[in-house]
Amino acid sequence: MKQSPRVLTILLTICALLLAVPADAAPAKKKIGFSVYDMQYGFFQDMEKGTKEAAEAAGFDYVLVDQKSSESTMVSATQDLLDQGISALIISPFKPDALGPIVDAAKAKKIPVVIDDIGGGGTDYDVIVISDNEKGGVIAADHIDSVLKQKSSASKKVASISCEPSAVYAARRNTGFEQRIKELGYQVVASLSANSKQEEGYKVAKDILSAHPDVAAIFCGNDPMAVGAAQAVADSGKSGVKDIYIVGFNGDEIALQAIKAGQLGATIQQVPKEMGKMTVDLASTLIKGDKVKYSNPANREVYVPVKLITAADVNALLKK
Amino acid sequence: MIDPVLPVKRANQLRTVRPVKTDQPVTHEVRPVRRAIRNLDWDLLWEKFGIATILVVVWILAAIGTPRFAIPDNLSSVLRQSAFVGVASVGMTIAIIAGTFDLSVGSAQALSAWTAVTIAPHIGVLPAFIAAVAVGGIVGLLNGALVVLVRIPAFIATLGTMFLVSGLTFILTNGQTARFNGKDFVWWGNGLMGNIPVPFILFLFCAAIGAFTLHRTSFGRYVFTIGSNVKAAHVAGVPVNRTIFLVFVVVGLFTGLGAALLGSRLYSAGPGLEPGFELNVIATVVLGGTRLAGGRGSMFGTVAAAILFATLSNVLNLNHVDAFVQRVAVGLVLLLALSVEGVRQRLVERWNRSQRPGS
Repeated sequence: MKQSPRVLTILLTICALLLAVPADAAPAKKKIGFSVYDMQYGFFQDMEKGTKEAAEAAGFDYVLVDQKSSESTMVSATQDLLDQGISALIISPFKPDALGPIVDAAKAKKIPVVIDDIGGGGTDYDVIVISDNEKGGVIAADHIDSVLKQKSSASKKVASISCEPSAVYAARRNTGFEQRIKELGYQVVASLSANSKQEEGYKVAKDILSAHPDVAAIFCGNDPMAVGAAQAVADSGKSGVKDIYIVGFNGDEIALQAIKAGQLGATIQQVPKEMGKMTVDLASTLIKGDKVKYSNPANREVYVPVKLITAADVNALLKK
Repeated sequence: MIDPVLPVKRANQLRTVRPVKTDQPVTHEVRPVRRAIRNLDWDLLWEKFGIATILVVVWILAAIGTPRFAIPDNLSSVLRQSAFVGVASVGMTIAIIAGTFDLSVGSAQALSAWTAVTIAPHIGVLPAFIAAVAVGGIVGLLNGALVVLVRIPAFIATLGTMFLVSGLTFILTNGQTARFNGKDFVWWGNGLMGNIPVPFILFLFCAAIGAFTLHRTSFGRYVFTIGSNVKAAHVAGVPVNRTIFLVFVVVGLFTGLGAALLGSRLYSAGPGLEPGFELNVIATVVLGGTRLAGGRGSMFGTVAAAILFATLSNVLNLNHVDAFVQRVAVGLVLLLALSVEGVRQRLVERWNRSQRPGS
């Protein structure tokens, strides 16, 4: 180690020389950077596809980094994006709580920040794009109403199963559903949380069935809980379509399979590709310096529409 | 751990023809040059500065090949990023030289960082950093006690504490991430002094302390002796148990400091802060030229390796390399570096054998 200080000096001198190299000329095209949650998941692959296609269609250069489900990588990789001279940052954060340094660094460079789903972590982002969760609940209520009207024997009793209370955006699905279904003249006999989990959805549905055997429909805040509820209904010798109509939320593969198999009535599909497209539209608005039209100005939210998926649609979706 | 020397030895025994002699016969003109080269200790030079040389080459290539690499903002980011794994690698270098290692640094990091972020708003920044370092030290004490007093092999003992501490962190945090963005606090992870990131300066400072400890204290001499041959160390009267115990505490202390810096960098910390952190740390130390078998290694190599890993991930990001390809690249670099090490050892052996009859 005797010689190491000298070599350290040489190394630092080289660093200093490199630091002195001036920045390269400004690129001709404006660049949009997208920092994705994790490309292992289909939801984010679709989101990335939508983002990339929209960015390229709008004439932007497009660069992607992957957070690989790590908050440390989320910050370092996004920092790499910010250092590349991007004109806007789109990010679907793995941990919204660690957005602080990213948003601060972006603001220091005057780069607008568009958040795609998950959450804003209480930071000073420009806009957050989320699925229209409340509208999704309303669509589910209208759909359940139209299905039940065709059955003369159906009761006016329905149940609502929600995600964990800390998932604020998901909670809006059940709020929207419950409000609308009451307006349509139904009674919500049970409104319970199953913490987003399939096995808890099963348990909660069993409890609902024993307390209210005449319940006509169940709305679930996500698909795993809906599939769990459908299993509970099937275990009690009934059908999740004909006897007790069950509707989920997300458009997950398991739900599509269950709909195809006739165990589940419908699901409300989130459209990550559309969300990606929306983030690029907003980024380009912000780059131009125009004002964003928020769906909910208080929280700087913009909503992306969701879709109803029934047995008629699943075959086309499962083929993809 | 597998001794890398054994397969090399076997390969040498199997080889009958020496390629050096077959393609180039030794002539009289070459001899003086050879003698001059012989006077230099290439083996030692490579061990100490090999990875630093590679780092410099990589930086030059990156500066030429990647347009936005050599700009101050980006270089700051690279150096900053090297610090978080780097500080923990300082402790791990000492542990690996002593012939042991610690798998619990990832869990200890999450708990320490969470501690710092949680208490910093209430008791101030400096006490929060001290608390984080102390938490790391306590995990180190536990590891040391398990290895030295209970005599559990380091691999199993630290694997156990890894699960224990990470479970404990999940219970304490309730799975939630703590958040704090106080200016004094986040400066330690995000600040700059001139153009140099604060955490990187602290990393160099830690490495200097580590190098001093290894080369200028009796503790450091014991670490090398134990790592080379633990039985001989016993016979020579080296306090093996006390030293190994201290090594684990030292690993914990550095891990705690690195964790507090990361918490400051992220404005937040929670359970599962950085998946695979312990392996990144061990990979950094090994890439830096420290022998996994113990007894040899250098803090300078660890510093260079930490910067090299940070550079690699930055350059791959700048060139928009797919995340999965990035994993492959990191794996390849590690394997390549260790292959170079293996080839080097073989060359050194051959060189030594060819020297013997002449001198």
